[in-house]
Amino acid sequence: MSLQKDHSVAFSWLGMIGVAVFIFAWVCAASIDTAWQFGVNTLSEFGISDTDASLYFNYGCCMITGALVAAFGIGRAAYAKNKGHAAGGTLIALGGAFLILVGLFTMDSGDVHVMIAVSMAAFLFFGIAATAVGNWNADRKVFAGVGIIVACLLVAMAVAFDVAGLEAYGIILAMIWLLSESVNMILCRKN
Amino acid sequence: MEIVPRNVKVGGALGFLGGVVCVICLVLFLEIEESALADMGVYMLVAVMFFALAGGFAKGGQWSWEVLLLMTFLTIAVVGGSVVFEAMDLYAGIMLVIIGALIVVSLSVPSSKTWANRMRF
Repeated sequence: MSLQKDHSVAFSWLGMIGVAVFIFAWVCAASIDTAWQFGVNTLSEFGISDTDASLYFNYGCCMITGALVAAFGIGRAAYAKNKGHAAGGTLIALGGAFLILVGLFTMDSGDVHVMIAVSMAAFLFFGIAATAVGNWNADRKVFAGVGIIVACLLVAMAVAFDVAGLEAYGIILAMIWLLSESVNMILCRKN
Repeated sequence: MEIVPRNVKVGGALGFLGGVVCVICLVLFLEIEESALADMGVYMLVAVMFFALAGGFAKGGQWSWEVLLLMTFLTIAVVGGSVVFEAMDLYAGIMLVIIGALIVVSLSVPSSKTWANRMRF
């Protein structure tokens, strides 16, 4: 009998809470800074807002959500069923860590902020792709399909949209994927 | 005589329906302008993908369950990509994604997997 407890469900809830925190902070920030427009302004512009929107964005959308996503990624890697899951979880954890840094190094930091934001997006994208491969090999085909569709749409958006549009719609897609992956982790826990 | 599961019949019918919807949308949203050829090409590509899916569900189809599922996901992704590039109408895209999702549901049933993975020809 194995004495090791399966905490994958707890980690999956961290992902769901991360999405909830991000949406809450995003809605609050957009309500406070009414000059910000969806798809026109980049999300990072909240970070240098003169209003309290900067607090909601830097602490809520970036630091707290980043920590929760990083923890979720660690859980995904720790309870990996194959190399795809392990690689995907590690990349998601790195993406979460870089999301924390986005909140620390705001747009005022110039190129450092751009480098961190692009790295975060790349880590999350490759994390989604690697997890999709892992899910496919682990016979979780439908959840792999969500990852495949999200990854394809992100590539299409990267070509079709400008940075502001890609960021806004891309984050919504990433949140949908995070929710689906959390449900996947809950459903395939050890009994 | 081999009995085809109802889910497989529904999946095939949905694939055919998706193709027909695409062709109807091609006619409905056709506007004679510079990008007309590209837009028509997108609708035709998606229609071909849906008809191919319907063919995959047919008795003589040679696609395994995994290939059928992957093709369904790719079809949904192509529909989504077409909407992103504004080559396809948003409502047509939503309708086709729903049809694609229903095909995934029909494929997710264990009887569909058993049927699709054995020799059908």
